[in-house]
Amino acid sequence: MMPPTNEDPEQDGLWSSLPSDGGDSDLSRRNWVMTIGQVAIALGFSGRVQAETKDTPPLPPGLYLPSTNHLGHALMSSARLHPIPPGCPTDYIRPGLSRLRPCFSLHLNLQ
Amino acid sequence: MASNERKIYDVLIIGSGASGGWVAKELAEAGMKVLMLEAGPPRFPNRDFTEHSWQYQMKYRGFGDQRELLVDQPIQRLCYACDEYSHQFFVKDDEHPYTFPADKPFMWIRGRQVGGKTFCWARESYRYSDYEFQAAKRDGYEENWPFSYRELEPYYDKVESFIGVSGSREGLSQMPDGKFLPPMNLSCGEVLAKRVIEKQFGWRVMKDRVANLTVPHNGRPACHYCGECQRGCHTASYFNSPSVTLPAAARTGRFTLVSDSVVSHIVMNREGKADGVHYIDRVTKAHSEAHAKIIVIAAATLESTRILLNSRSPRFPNGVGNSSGVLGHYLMDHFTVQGAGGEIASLKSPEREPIGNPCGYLIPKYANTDGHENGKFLRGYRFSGGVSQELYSQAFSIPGFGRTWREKVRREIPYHFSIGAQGECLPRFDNFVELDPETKDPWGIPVLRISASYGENEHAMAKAMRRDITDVLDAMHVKNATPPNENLSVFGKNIHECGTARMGSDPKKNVLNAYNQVHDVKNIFVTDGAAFVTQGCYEPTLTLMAISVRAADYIIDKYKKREL
Repeated sequence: MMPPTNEDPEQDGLWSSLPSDGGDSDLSRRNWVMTIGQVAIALGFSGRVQAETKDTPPLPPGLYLPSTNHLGHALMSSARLHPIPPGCPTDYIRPGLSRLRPCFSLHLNLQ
Repeated sequence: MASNERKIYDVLIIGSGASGGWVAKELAEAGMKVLMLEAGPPRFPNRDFTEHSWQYQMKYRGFGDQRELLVDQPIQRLCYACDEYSHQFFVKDDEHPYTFPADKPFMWIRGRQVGGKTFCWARESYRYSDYEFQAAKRDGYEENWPFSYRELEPYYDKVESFIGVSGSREGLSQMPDGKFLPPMNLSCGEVLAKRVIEKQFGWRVMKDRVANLTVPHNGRPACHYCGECQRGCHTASYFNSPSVTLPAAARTGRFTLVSDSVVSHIVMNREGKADGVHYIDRVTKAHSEAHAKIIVIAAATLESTRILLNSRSPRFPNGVGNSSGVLGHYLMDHFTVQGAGGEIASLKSPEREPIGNPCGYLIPKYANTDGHENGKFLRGYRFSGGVSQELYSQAFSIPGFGRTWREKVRREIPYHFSIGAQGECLPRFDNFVELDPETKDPWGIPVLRISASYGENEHAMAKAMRRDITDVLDAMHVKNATPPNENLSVFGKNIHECGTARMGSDPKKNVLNAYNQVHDVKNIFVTDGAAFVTQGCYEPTLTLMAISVRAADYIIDKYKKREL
C-alpha cells in the first residue's frame, strides 16, 4: 500500500486510509477524532478544565497546575515572535499562514 | 530580619527538586508544618517554558547568543539541554563558582530554581535491583546499601503510581518491573534494532521507561509528544516537582515555600541538635535564620554536602555529620561512551515519520549479571540511543535555499541509528569534595573543591563497551558508521552525581543511617543522591525519590513518638 500523497487533509481518504492504533478496528483516526469532538461539543466542553476548587489555597509562586489547552499554547505563541525589523529582506515565515500538510509513513511502508 | 524568624516549623526542607518535593508532600499530608527554602527563583510557565516555540520565534533561531553563553554559562552550555530555549533552567556559572584540580576536570551542571533540575531532567526512571543495593555481597567491593530491593519496593510502587512512569514489563531481575503506564511505541528503526540485536546478542531492546504520561493520570493530561521536554511542560505531562509533588504539599495548607533563599549552614544548639538554618536572600544578600524541629537537606548531592561541610562549630569542626571523616567522599557519576552510530539505508524515505516521541530505546545491563560474569571489571553498563529520521541534520548538510533546496532535503530523508553506553562508576574514597579555603560564592559561602576522576575499573569497562558497540554497528549493517568515542565523558557531565554523604549502618564508615538520618545529629536528614552507596548504571532520580518517601515515613513515625 502506497502512502497517501494528497496534500489536502480535509479530503476523505487521507486520514481514513490510516490504520487505527489497535489495528483490528474499522474506526479510522479521522472518525475517532470526529467522534470525540462531537461528544465534547455535546457535553459543552470549552477547552479548559477547572482544575482548582474554591477551597484550595492558592499555590505559591513557582508551582503550577497542568494546562489542558495543548494546542492553544502553540497557537497562542505568535505573540512571542521576534519582531521583523522594518525593511528586512529576510523571508520570515509566520506560523498558521499555510495549510496543514501532514506527512507520515504508514505501518505497511515499514515492513 | 525575615518575619518567619521566630516561628518554629515542624520540619524545614532545603531544596525543592525531586527529593524535597516528595518529602514535603509526605510530611505535610501527615499533618506536619513544613517550611521549604529554595535557593533559586520561581519559574512561570507563561514566561519561562518554551516547549512550543519554533526556531523562527527565537531571537537566535535556537542557536542562542553564543557570546553571552560563553560569558554567563560556559560550563552549563556544554549540557545538551542548555540552549537558547532552556538556558533559564541552568545557573549562571560566574555566580556559582567551584574549583577542581587542573588534571581532574569536573562539569557541575546545576538547576537552581523552584523545582530544581526536574524541569530539564531526562525523565528516565529505572528501578535499582539487588545488583545495586547488595552489590558488595556479589563482588566484595566497598559497602552494600543498608537495605535490600524488597524493602524499597513499596516506595518505588508509591512513587511510580503517583508521578506516572510509562514502560513495558520485561521480567528482568537486573531491572525490576514497576507500576507502569502503557509504554510508548518503538520507532520503526527501533523495531528493526530490536529484531536484530535480540536475535544476534540475546539482549533485550525496549523503550525507555520515562516519567512521561502516556495516558491521563492523577489530573494531568497525557503527553502530546511535542518532544521538547527539557524546555518545560505546560501540561505537566512529565514529572516535575512544581506541578506534581509540591502542589500536593501546598493543598494541605501546611506548606510554606520561600524561594531565593540560599542556605549557608545549619544552626546547631547547645545540645548538639539542629535548631534551624542560616540563609541569605539571593537578591538582597540579607542574612536570616529559620527554625524547625527537623531539618531535611535535599539540595542535590553536592550542594547538600556543601551545607553539611560548611556547618562547622566547636562541636563539629569538620562539618556536621562528619565524625566518620567520610563526608564529601565516595563521589560518583556515571561515565558514558558516546558518538557511535550510522545510517540505516533501507529506511531512507521521502515520507516523514511521526516525530515527537520524547525518549529512545534501552538495552538493560547484562555485564556481571547471572550468566554474564566478567572477570575484567566489576559492575556493569547499559546501552541506549535513538533510531529516527534525521531531517534537520540532512538540511544542515545540504547547501542551497528556496523551494529546490527544500525538495532536495525532503527527497530522501536519512534514518539514523545511534548507540551509547553508560557505566557504573565505583565509589572510591579518593573521589571527593571539600570546601575550598580561598574561594567564596557571591553570598560569601565557601565553594566546593571537587577532585574526582575515573579509575582502572571504569576504563576497563569502557573497553568492553566500545567492543560491544562496534559489534552492534556491524550487526545493524549501518552505513557511514562512526565509531564510539575513545575518551570517557568528563566527570559530572552526566549530571548523576551521587554519594558524598552515604548511608550505612556503621557510623564509623557512613554519614547517614539506613533512613537518611545523620548518624551524629538525629534531627537532620539528607534525602537526595548524596545518600547513595552505589549508583549502578541507571539514572538515580527514581531511586532518590523512593528513598525520600521511605525517609519521610521514618520521620513521621519518629516525630509522632517524639524521638527526634
